[in-house]
Amino acid sequence: MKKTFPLLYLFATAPSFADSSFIGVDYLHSDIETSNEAANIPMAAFRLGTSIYKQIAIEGQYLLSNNTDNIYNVEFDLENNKAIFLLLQSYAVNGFSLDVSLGYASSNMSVSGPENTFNGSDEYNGFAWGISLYQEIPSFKNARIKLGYQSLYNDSNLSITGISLGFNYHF
Amino acid sequence: MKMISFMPKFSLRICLTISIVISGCDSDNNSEALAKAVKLESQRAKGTIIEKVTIIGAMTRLRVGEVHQLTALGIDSNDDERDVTTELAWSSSDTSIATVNSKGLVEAVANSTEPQGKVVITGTTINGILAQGEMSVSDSAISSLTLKQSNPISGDINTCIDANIVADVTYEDDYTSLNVTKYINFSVDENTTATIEDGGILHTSNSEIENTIVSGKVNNISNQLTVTADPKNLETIDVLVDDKVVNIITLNVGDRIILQSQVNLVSTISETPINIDNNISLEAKNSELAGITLNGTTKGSILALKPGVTQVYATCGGVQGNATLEIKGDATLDTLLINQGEETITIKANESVEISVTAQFEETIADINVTEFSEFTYSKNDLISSELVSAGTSAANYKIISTSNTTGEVFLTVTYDGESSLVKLIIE
Repeated sequence: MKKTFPLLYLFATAPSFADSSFIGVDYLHSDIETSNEAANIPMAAFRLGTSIYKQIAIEGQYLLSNNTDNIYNVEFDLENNKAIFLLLQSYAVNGFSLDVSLGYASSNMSVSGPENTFNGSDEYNGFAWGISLYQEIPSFKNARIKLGYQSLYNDSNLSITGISLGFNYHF
Repeated sequence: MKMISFMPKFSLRICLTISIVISGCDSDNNSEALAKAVKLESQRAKGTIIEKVTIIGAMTRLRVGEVHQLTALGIDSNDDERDVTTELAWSSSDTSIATVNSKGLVEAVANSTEPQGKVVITGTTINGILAQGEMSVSDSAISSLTLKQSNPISGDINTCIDANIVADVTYEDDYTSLNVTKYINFSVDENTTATIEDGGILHTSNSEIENTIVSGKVNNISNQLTVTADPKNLETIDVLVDDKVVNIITLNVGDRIILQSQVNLVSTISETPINIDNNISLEAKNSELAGITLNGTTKGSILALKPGVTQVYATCGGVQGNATLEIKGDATLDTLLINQGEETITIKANESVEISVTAQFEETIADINVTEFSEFTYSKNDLISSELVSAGTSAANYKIISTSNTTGEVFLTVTYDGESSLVKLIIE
Protein backbone atom coordinates (compact mmCIF):
# COMPACT_ATOMS: atom_id res chain seq x y z
CA MET A 1 0.00 0.00 0.00
CA LYS A 2 2.83 2.31 0.84
CA LYS A 3 4.29 1.76 -2.59
CA THR A 4 1.04 2.38 -4.44
CA PHE A 5 0.07 5.43 -2.44
CA PRO A 6 2.16 7.98 -4.36
CA LEU A 7 0.74 6.70 -7.64
CA LEU A 8 -2.82 6.96 -6.37
CA TYR A 9 -2.04 10.40 -5.10
CA LEU A 10 -0.74 11.42 -8.51
CA PHE A 11 -3.96 10.43 -10.22
CA ALA A 12 -6.19 11.78 -7.48
CA THR A 13 -4.90 15.31 -7.47
CA ALA A 14 -6.70 18.10 -9.26
CA PRO A 15 -5.83 18.59 -12.93
CA SER A 16 -3.92 21.72 -13.79
CA PHE A 17 -4.40 21.98 -17.56
CA ALA A 18 -7.54 19.96 -18.22
CA ASP A 19 -9.85 21.32 -20.87
CA SER A 20 -7.14 23.41 -22.47
CA SER A 21 -5.35 23.67 -25.77
CA PHE A 22 -1.62 23.91 -26.09
CA ILE A 23 1.29 24.45 -28.38
CA GLY A 24 4.72 23.04 -27.82
CA VAL A 25 8.23 23.23 -29.16
CA ASP A 26 10.89 20.58 -28.53
CA TYR A 27 14.43 19.68 -29.36
CA LEU A 28 14.43 16.01 -30.31
CA HIS A 29 17.54 13.84 -30.41
CA SER A 30 16.53 11.15 -32.86
CA ASP A 31 18.01 7.69 -32.89
CA ILE A 32 17.78 5.69 -36.12
CA GLU A 33 18.91 2.12 -35.49
CA THR A 34 19.50 -0.54 -38.09
CA SER A 35 21.85 -3.55 -38.21
CA ASN A 36 23.12 -2.75 -34.72
CA GLU A 37 24.32 0.66 -35.88
CA ALA A 38 22.80 4.05 -35.13
CA ALA A 39 22.49 7.47 -36.73
CA ASN A 40 21.51 10.43 -34.59
CA ILE A 41 19.92 13.49 -36.10
CA PRO A 42 18.89 16.55 -34.08
CA MET A 43 15.39 17.71 -34.94
CA ALA A 44 12.91 20.37 -34.01
CA ALA A 45 9.39 19.41 -33.00
CA PHE A 46 6.31 21.59 -33.23
CA ARG A 47 3.22 20.38 -31.49
CA LEU A 48 -0.36 21.47 -31.32
CA GLY A 49 -2.99 19.84 -29.14
CA THR A 50 -6.29 20.14 -27.42
CA SER A 51 -8.10 18.35 -24.68
CA ILE A 52 -11.01 16.26 -25.90
CA TYR A 53 -12.25 14.87 -22.61
CA LYS A 54 -10.93 15.32 -19.08
CA GLN A 55 -7.41 13.84 -19.09
CA ILE A 56 -7.46 12.83 -22.74
CA ALA A 57 -6.07 15.08 -25.42
CA ILE A 58 -5.25 14.87 -29.07
CA GLU A 59 -1.92 16.15 -30.34
CA GLY A 60 -0.42 16.73 -33.75
CA GLN A 61 3.36 16.81 -34.11
CA TYR A 62 5.62 17.89 -36.91
CA LEU A 63 9.34 17.17 -36.78
CA LEU A 64 11.86 18.54 -39.18
CA SER A 65 15.59 18.77 -39.56
CA ASN A 66 18.24 20.10 -41.86
CA ASN A 67 20.89 17.83 -40.44
CA THR A 68 22.13 14.44 -41.51
CA ASP A 69 24.19 11.72 -39.92
CA ASN A 70 26.24 8.89 -41.33
CA ILE A 71 26.62 5.22 -40.53
CA TYR A 72 29.91 4.49 -42.25
CA ASN A 73 29.31 5.56 -45.86
CA VAL A 74 25.54 5.65 -45.60
CA GLU A 75 24.08 9.10 -45.03
CA PHE A 76 20.75 9.37 -43.23
CA ASP A 77 18.51 12.39 -43.65
CA LEU A 78 15.35 12.18 -41.57
CA GLU A 79 13.70 15.03 -43.43
CA ASN A 80 10.49 15.22 -41.49
CA ASN A 81 8.00 13.32 -39.44
CA LYS A 82 4.31 13.86 -39.04
CA ALA A 83 2.48 12.27 -36.16
CA ILE A 84 -0.86 12.34 -34.44
CA PHE A 85 -1.22 11.13 -30.87
CA LEU A 86 -3.92 10.46 -28.37
CA LEU A 87 -2.57 11.65 -25.01
CA LEU A 88 -3.61 9.92 -21.83
CA GLN A 89 -2.70 12.45 -19.20
CA SER A 90 -2.20 12.12 -15.50
CA TYR A 91 -3.29 14.70 -12.97
CA ALA A 92 -0.58 17.00 -11.68
CA VAL A 93 1.10 16.65 -8.31
CA ASN A 94 3.15 19.62 -7.22
CA GLY A 95 3.18 20.74 -10.81
CA PHE A 96 4.50 17.41 -12.01
CA SER A 97 2.56 15.20 -14.41
CA LEU A 98 3.07 12.63 -17.15
CA ASP A 99 1.29 11.37 -20.19
CA VAL A 100 1.33 8.35 -22.40
CA SER A 101 0.79 8.96 -26.09
CA LEU A 102 -0.49 6.44 -28.62
CA GLY A 103 -0.69 7.33 -32.25
CA TYR A 104 0.46 7.11 -35.79
CA ALA A 105 3.60 8.56 -37.32
CA SER A 106 4.92 8.97 -40.82
CA SER A 107 8.65 9.55 -41.25
CA ASN A 108 10.22 10.75 -44.46
CA MET A 109 13.81 9.58 -44.68
CA SER A 110 16.36 9.85 -47.45
CA VAL A 111 19.36 7.55 -47.48
CA SER A 112 22.41 7.98 -49.64
CA GLY A 113 24.88 5.14 -49.82
CA PRO A 114 27.65 4.07 -52.15
CA GLU A 115 26.66 2.91 -55.59
CA ASN A 116 24.98 -0.50 -55.67
CA THR A 117 24.10 -0.38 -51.99
CA PHE A 118 21.09 1.72 -51.01
CA ASN A 119 19.91 5.08 -52.24
CA GLY A 120 16.51 6.64 -52.06
CA SER A 121 13.71 8.16 -50.03
CA ASP A 122 11.13 6.15 -48.18
CA GLU A 123 8.23 6.73 -45.89
CA TYR A 124 8.22 4.76 -42.69
CA ASN A 125 4.68 4.77 -41.40
CA GLY A 126 3.14 3.02 -38.49
CA PHE A 127 2.21 2.85 -34.86
CA ALA A 128 3.94 5.34 -32.63
CA TRP A 129 3.95 5.83 -28.92
CA GLY A 130 5.63 7.91 -26.31
CA ILE A 131 5.83 8.88 -22.70
CA SER A 132 6.43 12.39 -21.41
CA LEU A 133 7.09 14.00 -18.08
CA TYR A 134 5.94 17.58 -17.40
CA GLN A 135 6.85 20.14 -14.80
CA GLU A 136 4.98 23.37 -14.42
CA ILE A 137 7.02 26.56 -14.26
CA PRO A 138 6.04 28.51 -11.11
CA SER A 139 6.84 31.88 -12.56
CA PHE A 140 5.17 31.16 -15.88
CA LYS A 141 1.86 29.54 -15.00
CA ASN A 142 0.67 28.54 -18.47
CA ALA A 143 3.90 26.84 -19.42
CA ARG A 144 5.30 23.38 -18.66
CA ILE A 145 8.71 21.91 -19.32
CA LYS A 146 8.53 18.58 -21.10
CA LEU A 147 10.95 15.64 -21.21
CA GLY A 148 9.83 12.80 -23.41
CA TYR A 149 10.64 9.61 -25.22
CA GLN A 150 9.00 8.67 -28.51
CA SER A 151 9.03 5.57 -30.66
CA LEU A 152 8.14 6.78 -34.13
CA TYR A 153 8.72 3.61 -36.13
CA ASN A 154 9.73 0.08 -35.38
CA ASP A 155 10.09 -3.07 -37.43
CA SER A 156 12.55 -5.96 -37.37
CA ASN A 157 15.11 -4.03 -39.43
CA LEU A 158 14.73 -0.42 -38.40
CA SER A 159 13.66 1.67 -35.47
CA ILE A 160 13.26 5.41 -35.20
CA THR A 161 13.06 6.79 -31.69
CA GLY A 162 13.85 10.07 -30.02
CA ILE A 163 14.36 11.80 -26.71
CA SER A 164 12.86 15.26 -26.59
CA LEU A 165 13.20 18.27 -24.35
CA GLY A 166 10.92 21.28 -24.76
CA PHE A 167 7.95 23.11 -23.36
CA ASN A 168 4.20 23.48 -23.74
CA TYR A 169 2.18 26.62 -23.54
CA HIS A 170 -1.45 26.17 -22.52
CA PHE A 171 -4.26 28.50 -23.46
CA MET B 1 -25.87 13.16 -16.74
CA LYS B 2 -26.25 10.36 -19.23
CA MET B 3 -23.70 12.07 -21.45
CA ILE B 4 -21.18 12.30 -18.62
CA SER B 5 -21.44 8.63 -17.69
CA PHE B 6 -21.18 7.67 -21.33
CA MET B 7 -18.02 9.65 -22.07
CA PRO B 8 -15.35 7.53 -20.26
CA LYS B 9 -16.47 4.35 -21.99
CA PHE B 10 -16.70 6.18 -25.28
CA SER B 11 -13.18 7.60 -24.91
CA LEU B 12 -11.80 4.25 -23.99
CA ARG B 13 -13.35 2.71 -27.05
CA ILE B 14 -11.92 5.48 -29.22
CA CYS B 15 -8.46 4.93 -27.73
CA LEU B 16 -8.59 1.21 -28.29
CA THR B 17 -9.98 1.51 -31.79
CA ILE B 18 -7.39 4.07 -32.84
CA SER B 19 -4.58 2.01 -31.32
CA ILE B 20 -5.69 -1.16 -33.09
CA VAL B 21 -6.21 0.55 -36.43
CA ILE B 22 -2.97 2.48 -36.48
CA SER B 23 -0.90 -0.44 -35.22
CA GLY B 24 -1.98 -2.27 -38.37
CA CYS B 25 -1.03 0.58 -40.68
CA ASP B 26 2.68 -0.08 -41.11
CA SER B 27 3.97 0.98 -44.48
CA ASP B 28 5.70 -1.02 -47.13
CA ASN B 29 9.23 0.30 -47.26
CA ASN B 30 12.79 -0.79 -47.82
CA SER B 31 13.93 -1.20 -44.25
CA GLU B 32 15.25 -4.69 -44.98
CA ALA B 33 17.33 -3.44 -47.92
CA LEU B 34 18.49 -0.51 -45.81
CA ALA B 35 19.58 -2.79 -42.99
CA LYS B 36 21.44 -4.94 -45.46
CA ALA B 37 23.20 -1.91 -46.95
CA VAL B 38 24.26 -0.69 -43.51
CA LYS B 39 25.52 -4.13 -42.55
CA LEU B 40 27.48 -4.29 -45.77
CA GLU B 41 29.05 -0.88 -45.17
CA SER B 42 29.81 -1.88 -41.59
CA GLN B 43 31.63 -4.98 -42.80
CA ARG B 44 33.47 -2.96 -45.44
CA ALA B 45 34.62 -0.45 -42.86
CA LYS B 46 35.77 -3.12 -40.44
CA GLY B 47 37.37 -5.25 -43.13
CA THR B 48 35.09 -8.12 -42.28
CA ILE B 49 33.31 -8.27 -45.60
CA ILE B 50 33.37 -11.79 -46.95
CA GLU B 51 35.29 -12.36 -50.13
CA LYS B 52 35.14 -16.12 -50.38
CA VAL B 53 32.71 -18.69 -49.04
CA THR B 54 32.93 -22.46 -48.79
CA ILE B 55 30.03 -24.69 -47.85
CA ILE B 56 30.93 -27.56 -45.57
CA GLY B 57 28.86 -30.72 -45.39
CA ALA B 58 27.50 -30.83 -48.93
CA MET B 59 27.60 -33.88 -51.24
CA THR B 60 25.42 -35.72 -48.79
CA ARG B 61 22.51 -38.03 -49.42
CA LEU B 62 19.45 -37.81 -47.22
CA ARG B 63 16.33 -39.86 -46.83
CA VAL B 64 12.93 -38.20 -46.69
CA GLY B 65 12.37 -36.54 -43.36
CA GLU B 66 16.05 -36.34 -42.48
CA VAL B 67 17.76 -33.03 -41.81
CA HIS B 68 21.38 -32.10 -42.39
CA GLN B 69 23.22 -29.05 -41.14
CA LEU B 70 25.36 -27.26 -43.68
CA THR B 71 27.92 -24.80 -42.45
CA ALA B 72 29.66 -22.06 -44.34
CA LEU B 73 33.15 -20.74 -43.79
CA GLY B 74 34.00 -17.34 -45.16
CA ILE B 75 37.28 -15.53 -45.63
CA ASP B 76 37.01 -11.79 -45.14
CA SER B 77 39.05 -8.91 -46.52
CA ASN B 78 41.36 -9.13 -43.49
CA ASP B 79 42.06 -12.71 -44.58
CA ASP B 80 40.42 -13.98 -41.42
CA GLU B 81 38.19 -17.02 -41.53
CA ARG B 82 34.85 -17.12 -39.76
CA ASP B 83 31.69 -19.16 -39.65
CA VAL B 84 29.18 -17.31 -41.82
CA THR B 85 26.45 -19.94 -41.73
CA THR B 86 23.90 -17.59 -40.22
CA GLU B 87 25.01 -14.63 -42.32
CA LEU B 88 24.10 -16.22 -45.63
CA ALA B 89 20.83 -16.12 -47.52
CA TRP B 90 20.19 -19.81 -48.20
CA SER B 91 18.14 -21.19 -51.07
CA SER B 92 17.35 -24.53 -52.65
CA SER B 93 17.21 -25.18 -56.39
CA ASP B 94 14.22 -27.47 -55.92
CA THR B 95 12.18 -27.04 -52.77
CA SER B 96 10.00 -29.98 -53.73
CA ILE B 97 13.02 -32.21 -53.04
CA ALA B 98 14.80 -30.38 -50.21
CA THR B 99 14.36 -27.13 -48.38
CA VAL B 100 16.93 -25.11 -46.49
CA ASN B 101 16.25 -22.66 -43.70
CA SER B 102 18.00 -19.41 -42.86
CA LYS B 103 20.54 -21.27 -40.70
CA GLY B 104 21.62 -23.73 -43.40
CA LEU B 105 19.58 -26.66 -42.12
CA VAL B 106 18.56 -28.82 -45.07
CA GLU B 107 15.42 -30.93 -44.82
CA ALA B 108 14.73 -33.75 -47.26
CA VAL B 109 11.16 -33.35 -48.48
CA ALA B 110 10.71 -35.98 -51.20
CA ASN B 111 12.65 -38.74 -52.90
CA SER B 112 13.70 -38.11 -56.43
CA THR B 113 15.37 -40.32 -58.98
CA GLU B 114 16.06 -37.72 -61.62
CA PRO B 115 18.88 -36.89 -61.56
CA GLN B 116 19.93 -38.99 -58.56
CA GLY B 117 17.75 -36.84 -56.31
CA LYS B 118 20.20 -33.98 -56.61
CA VAL B 119 19.39 -30.49 -55.45
CA VAL B 120 21.71 -27.50 -55.30
CA ILE B 121 21.82 -25.48 -52.09
CA THR B 122 23.11 -21.94 -52.49
CA GLY B 123 24.35 -19.64 -49.78
CA THR B 124 24.78 -15.98 -50.68
CA THR B 125 26.55 -13.34 -48.63
CA ILE B 126 25.24 -9.85 -48.11
CA ASN B 127 27.64 -8.61 -50.79
CA GLY B 128 26.54 -11.20 -53.32
CA ILE B 129 29.35 -13.72 -52.94
CA LEU B 130 27.85 -17.16 -53.25
CA ALA B 131 28.77 -20.76 -52.72
CA GLN B 132 26.89 -23.83 -53.76
CA GLY B 133 26.68 -27.33 -52.39
CA GLU B 134 24.98 -30.39 -53.76
CA MET B 135 22.62 -32.53 -51.73
CA SER B 136 20.63 -35.56 -52.75
CA VAL B 137 17.38 -37.11 -51.56
CA SER B 138 16.70 -40.71 -52.43
CA ASP B 139 15.91 -44.03 -50.79
CA SER B 140 18.34 -45.93 -53.00
CA ALA B 141 20.25 -48.63 -51.10
CA ILE B 142 23.97 -48.52 -50.28
CA SER B 143 26.16 -50.50 -52.63
CA SER B 144 29.60 -49.81 -51.16
CA LEU B 145 31.50 -47.68 -48.70
CA THR B 146 35.07 -46.52 -48.45
CA LEU B 147 36.56 -45.48 -45.14
CA LYS B 148 38.98 -42.58 -45.01
CA GLN B 149 40.61 -40.24 -42.56
CA SER B 150 38.87 -36.92 -42.18
CA ASN B 151 41.04 -35.20 -39.63
CA PRO B 152 43.86 -35.43 -40.49
CA ILE B 153 42.98 -36.11 -44.09
CA SER B 154 45.98 -38.31 -44.76
CA GLY B 155 49.20 -39.65 -43.29
CA ASP B 156 49.92 -40.84 -39.79
CA ILE B 157 47.80 -39.43 -37.02
CA ASN B 158 49.31 -38.02 -33.84
CA THR B 159 48.82 -40.42 -30.96
CA CYS B 160 46.62 -38.98 -28.20
CA ILE B 161 44.88 -36.54 -30.52
CA ASP B 162 41.41 -37.54 -31.64
CA ALA B 163 41.20 -38.50 -35.30
CA ASN B 164 38.03 -38.63 -37.35
CA ILE B 165 37.19 -41.53 -39.58
CA VAL B 166 34.44 -41.09 -42.16
CA ALA B 167 33.15 -42.99 -45.16
CA ASP B 168 32.34 -42.15 -48.73
CA VAL B 169 29.16 -44.10 -49.34
CA THR B 170 28.08 -45.11 -52.83
CA TYR B 171 24.45 -45.97 -53.51
CA GLU B 172 22.90 -48.26 -56.07
CA ASP B 173 22.05 -45.29 -58.26
CA ASP B 174 25.81 -44.48 -58.36
CA TYR B 175 25.47 -41.38 -56.19
CA THR B 176 28.35 -41.00 -53.73
CA SER B 177 27.72 -39.33 -50.42
CA LEU B 178 30.88 -37.91 -48.88
CA ASN B 179 32.15 -37.92 -45.31
CA VAL B 180 29.35 -40.03 -43.86
CA THR B 181 29.30 -41.30 -40.28
CA LYS B 182 25.55 -41.75 -39.82
CA TYR B 183 24.35 -45.38 -39.86
CA ILE B 184 27.92 -46.70 -39.87
CA ASN B 185 29.01 -49.07 -37.12
CA PHE B 186 32.67 -48.44 -36.46
CA SER B 187 34.98 -50.88 -34.72
CA VAL B 188 38.70 -51.47 -34.26
CA ASP B 189 40.74 -54.67 -34.31
CA GLU B 190 41.38 -56.62 -31.14
CA ASN B 191 45.13 -56.10 -31.13
CA THR B 192 45.10 -52.34 -30.83
CA THR B 193 44.93 -50.13 -27.75
CA ALA B 194 42.89 -47.64 -29.76
CA THR B 195 39.15 -47.24 -29.32
CA ILE B 196 36.55 -45.74 -31.61
CA GLU B 197 33.23 -44.20 -30.71
CA ASP B 198 30.02 -43.53 -32.63
CA GLY B 199 30.67 -40.91 -35.22
CA GLY B 200 34.06 -42.37 -36.10
CA ILE B 201 36.15 -40.57 -33.47
CA LEU B 202 39.32 -42.61 -32.95
CA HIS B 203 41.13 -42.44 -29.60
CA THR B 204 44.75 -43.52 -29.37
CA SER B 205 47.24 -43.53 -26.51
CA ASN B 206 49.95 -46.11 -27.19
CA SER B 207 53.55 -45.14 -26.46
CA GLU B 208 54.77 -46.82 -29.64
CA ILE B 209 53.76 -46.45 -33.26
CA GLU B 210 50.59 -48.47 -33.61
CA ASN B 211 48.59 -49.61 -36.60
CA THR B 212 44.88 -49.89 -36.02
CA ILE B 213 42.48 -51.53 -38.42
CA VAL B 214 39.26 -49.56 -38.38
CA SER B 215 36.17 -51.30 -39.73
CA GLY B 216 32.99 -49.63 -40.86
CA LYS B 217 29.86 -51.56 -41.54
CA VAL B 218 26.35 -50.79 -42.77
CA ASN B 219 24.10 -53.83 -42.97
CA ASN B 220 26.26 -56.38 -44.77
CA ILE B 221 28.48 -53.85 -46.52
CA SER B 222 31.77 -53.05 -44.89
CA ASN B 223 35.19 -51.61 -45.47
CA GLN B 224 38.44 -51.37 -43.55
CA LEU B 225 41.09 -48.74 -43.13
CA THR B 226 44.47 -49.01 -41.45
CA VAL B 227 45.34 -45.97 -39.39
CA THR B 228 48.84 -45.42 -38.04
CA ALA B 229 49.15 -43.49 -34.80
CA ASP B 230 52.61 -42.08 -34.13
CA PRO B 231 53.59 -40.43 -30.83
CA LYS B 232 56.78 -38.85 -32.23
CA ASN B 233 55.34 -35.32 -32.28
CA LEU B 234 54.22 -35.33 -28.65
CA GLU B 235 56.47 -33.13 -26.57
CA THR B 236 54.91 -32.39 -23.18
CA ILE B 237 51.61 -32.87 -21.38
CA ASP B 238 50.03 -30.29 -19.08
CA VAL B 239 47.53 -30.87 -16.31
CA LEU B 240 44.76 -28.29 -16.20
CA VAL B 241 42.05 -27.25 -13.78
CA ASP B 242 39.35 -24.88 -15.03
CA ASP B 243 41.21 -24.59 -18.34
CA LYS B 244 44.37 -23.32 -16.63
CA VAL B 245 47.67 -25.17 -16.52
CA VAL B 246 48.50 -26.08 -12.92
CA ASN B 247 51.56 -27.47 -11.18
CA ILE B 248 50.06 -27.53 -7.69
CA ILE B 249 46.47 -28.39 -6.85
CA THR B 250 45.25 -27.67 -3.33
CA LEU B 251 42.04 -29.27 -2.12
CA ASN B 252 40.22 -29.90 1.12
CA VAL B 253 39.06 -33.38 2.04
CA GLY B 254 35.75 -33.98 0.24
CA ASP B 255 36.44 -31.54 -2.61
CA ARG B 256 35.81 -32.78 -6.11
CA ILE B 257 37.23 -31.15 -9.24
CA ILE B 258 37.74 -32.11 -12.86
CA LEU B 259 41.26 -32.55 -14.15
CA GLN B 260 41.91 -31.76 -17.80
CA SER B 261 44.96 -32.32 -19.92
CA GLN B 262 46.55 -30.96 -23.04
CA VAL B 263 49.46 -31.98 -25.17
CA ASN B 264 52.08 -29.70 -26.66
CA LEU B 265 53.36 -30.87 -30.01
CA VAL B 266 56.77 -30.11 -31.42
CA SER B 267 56.71 -26.55 -32.65
CA THR B 268 57.12 -27.50 -36.30
CA ILE B 269 53.75 -29.26 -36.16
CA SER B 270 51.72 -26.94 -33.95
CA GLU B 271 52.32 -24.23 -31.40
CA THR B 272 48.83 -24.54 -30.01
CA PRO B 273 48.24 -27.03 -27.17
CA ILE B 274 45.57 -29.60 -27.96
CA ASN B 275 43.07 -31.00 -25.49
CA ILE B 276 43.49 -34.75 -24.95
CA ASP B 277 40.93 -35.39 -22.21
CA ASN B 278 39.46 -38.31 -24.16
CA ASN B 279 42.78 -40.13 -24.44
CA ILE B 280 44.67 -39.32 -21.28
CA SER B 281 45.36 -41.83 -18.53
CA LEU B 282 45.25 -40.25 -15.07
CA GLU B 283 46.68 -41.71 -11.92
CA ALA B 284 47.31 -40.54 -8.36
CA LYS B 285 50.60 -41.82 -6.99
CA ASN B 286 48.89 -42.45 -3.67
CA SER B 287 45.37 -43.54 -4.58
CA GLU B 288 44.34 -43.54 -0.90
CA LEU B 289 44.56 -39.76 -0.88
CA ALA B 290 42.60 -39.07 -4.04
CA GLY B 291 40.17 -41.07 -6.11
CA ILE B 292 40.13 -40.42 -9.83
CA THR B 293 37.34 -41.39 -12.23
CA LEU B 294 39.10 -43.03 -15.15
CA ASN B 295 36.33 -43.48 -17.71
CA GLY B 296 33.01 -42.13 -18.85
CA THR B 297 31.68 -38.64 -19.27
CA THR B 298 33.14 -37.56 -15.92
CA LYS B 299 36.60 -38.93 -16.70
CA GLY B 300 39.18 -36.89 -14.80
CA SER B 301 36.92 -36.18 -11.83
CA ILE B 302 39.13 -36.28 -8.74
CA LEU B 303 37.83 -36.61 -5.18
CA ALA B 304 40.04 -35.62 -2.24
CA LEU B 305 39.76 -38.53 0.21
CA LYS B 306 42.48 -37.99 2.80
CA PRO B 307 44.91 -35.26 3.79
CA GLY B 308 48.42 -35.45 2.41
CA VAL B 309 50.56 -34.66 -0.60
CA THR B 310 50.86 -36.81 -3.68
CA GLN B 311 51.49 -36.56 -7.39
CA VAL B 312 48.90 -36.80 -10.12
CA TYR B 313 50.22 -38.23 -13.37
CA ALA B 314 48.69 -37.62 -16.78
CA THR B 315 50.08 -40.05 -19.32
CA CYS B 316 49.49 -40.57 -23.03
CA GLY B 317 51.63 -41.76 -25.90
CA GLY B 318 54.57 -42.39 -23.60
CA VAL B 319 54.64 -38.76 -22.47
CA GLN B 320 53.81 -37.87 -18.89
CA GLY B 321 52.74 -34.65 -17.25
CA ASN B 322 52.20 -34.22 -13.56
CA ALA B 323 50.93 -31.93 -10.86
CA THR B 324 51.38 -31.94 -7.12
CA LEU B 325 48.16 -32.58 -5.23
CA GLU B 326 47.97 -31.18 -1.72
CA ILE B 327 44.94 -32.20 0.34
CA LYS B 328 44.14 -30.41 3.57
CA GLY B 329 41.85 -31.37 6.42
CA ASP B 330 41.31 -34.36 8.64
CA ALA B 331 39.58 -37.54 7.59
CA THR B 332 39.66 -40.07 10.38
CA LEU B 333 36.99 -42.55 9.36
CA ASP B 334 34.27 -43.09 11.91
CA THR B 335 31.53 -45.06 10.16
CA LEU B 336 30.97 -46.60 6.77
CA LEU B 337 27.29 -46.51 5.86
CA ILE B 338 25.61 -48.52 3.14
CA ASN B 339 22.50 -46.73 1.92
CA GLN B 340 22.63 -44.47 4.96
CA GLY B 341 22.81 -47.35 7.44
CA GLU B 342 20.47 -49.99 6.02
CA GLU B 343 21.29 -53.53 7.18
CA THR B 344 18.91 -55.35 4.86
CA ILE B 345 18.06 -54.42 1.31
CA THR B 346 15.34 -56.18 -0.65
CA ILE B 347 15.48 -56.65 -4.41
CA LYS B 348 12.64 -58.09 -6.42
CA ALA B 349 13.73 -60.86 -8.79
CA ASN B 350 14.86 -59.48 -12.14
CA GLU B 351 14.82 -55.96 -10.80
CA SER B 352 17.54 -53.71 -9.43
CA VAL B 353 18.40 -51.51 -6.51
CA GLU B 354 20.88 -48.68 -6.03
CA ILE B 355 23.52 -48.93 -3.35
CA SER B 356 25.78 -46.12 -2.25
CA VAL B 357 28.49 -46.02 0.39
CA THR B 358 29.00 -43.00 2.59
CA ALA B 359 32.00 -42.33 4.79
CA GLN B 360 31.36 -40.46 8.03
CA PHE B 361 34.32 -38.91 9.81
CA GLU B 362 35.15 -38.20 13.41
CA GLU B 363 35.61 -34.53 12.61
CA THR B 364 32.81 -32.31 11.48
CA ILE B 365 33.56 -32.44 7.77
CA ALA B 366 30.65 -33.47 5.61
CA ASP B 367 30.03 -37.10 4.73
CA ILE B 368 31.66 -38.26 1.50
CA ASN B 369 30.19 -40.63 -1.05
CA VAL B 370 33.02 -43.15 -1.48
CA THR B 371 31.07 -45.75 -3.45
CA GLU B 372 33.37 -45.47 -6.43
CA PHE B 373 36.50 -46.06 -4.37
CA SER B 374 35.21 -48.86 -2.12
CA GLU B 375 35.68 -52.58 -2.61
CA PHE B 376 32.46 -54.57 -3.06
CA THR B 377 32.51 -58.30 -2.21
CA TYR B 378 29.48 -60.54 -2.67
CA SER B 379 28.95 -63.87 -0.90
CA LYS B 380 27.38 -65.20 -4.13
CA ASN B 381 27.86 -63.92 -7.64
CA ASP B 382 25.38 -66.10 -9.49
CA LEU B 383 22.26 -64.20 -8.40
CA ILE B 384 23.27 -60.62 -9.07
CA SER B 385 25.41 -58.37 -11.19
CA SER B 386 26.48 -54.82 -10.47
CA GLU B 387 27.17 -51.73 -12.49
CA LEU B 388 28.68 -48.43 -11.36
CA VAL B 389 26.53 -45.47 -12.32
CA SER B 390 26.98 -41.70 -11.94
CA ALA B 391 30.71 -42.26 -11.45
CA GLY B 392 32.70 -39.13 -10.81
CA THR B 393 29.81 -37.43 -9.05
CA SER B 394 28.53 -37.19 -5.50
CA ALA B 395 25.60 -39.36 -6.62
CA ALA B 396 27.79 -42.33 -7.57
CA ASN B 397 26.18 -45.67 -6.78
CA TYR B 398 26.21 -49.31 -7.76
CA LYS B 399 23.15 -50.60 -9.52
CA ILE B 400 22.70 -54.12 -8.14
CA ILE B 401 20.69 -56.19 -10.59
CA SER B 402 18.96 -59.49 -9.88
CA THR B 403 19.91 -61.58 -12.91
CA SER B 404 17.29 -64.34 -12.71
CA ASN B 405 14.00 -65.40 -11.19
CA THR B 406 15.88 -67.22 -8.45
CA THR B 407 15.32 -65.87 -4.96
CA GLY B 408 17.83 -66.01 -2.17
CA GLU B 409 20.16 -63.99 0.01
CA VAL B 410 23.50 -62.42 -0.79
CA PHE B 411 25.78 -60.78 1.72
CA LEU B 412 27.56 -57.68 0.47
CA THR B 413 30.72 -56.56 2.22
CA VAL B 414 31.96 -53.07 1.46
CA THR B 415 35.50 -52.11 2.42
CA TYR B 416 36.96 -48.63 2.45
CA ASP B 417 40.05 -47.35 4.22
CA GLY B 418 40.36 -50.49 6.35
CA GLU B 419 36.75 -50.31 7.54
CA SER B 420 34.12 -52.80 6.44
CA SER B 421 30.38 -52.73 6.45
CA LEU B 422 27.97 -55.56 5.76
CA VAL B 423 24.48 -55.59 4.28
CA LYS B 424 22.14 -58.46 3.50
CA LEU B 425 20.55 -58.43 0.04
CA ILE B 426 17.30 -60.37 -0.06
CA ILE B 427 16.14 -61.34 -3.50
CA GLU B 428 12.43 -62.11 -3.41
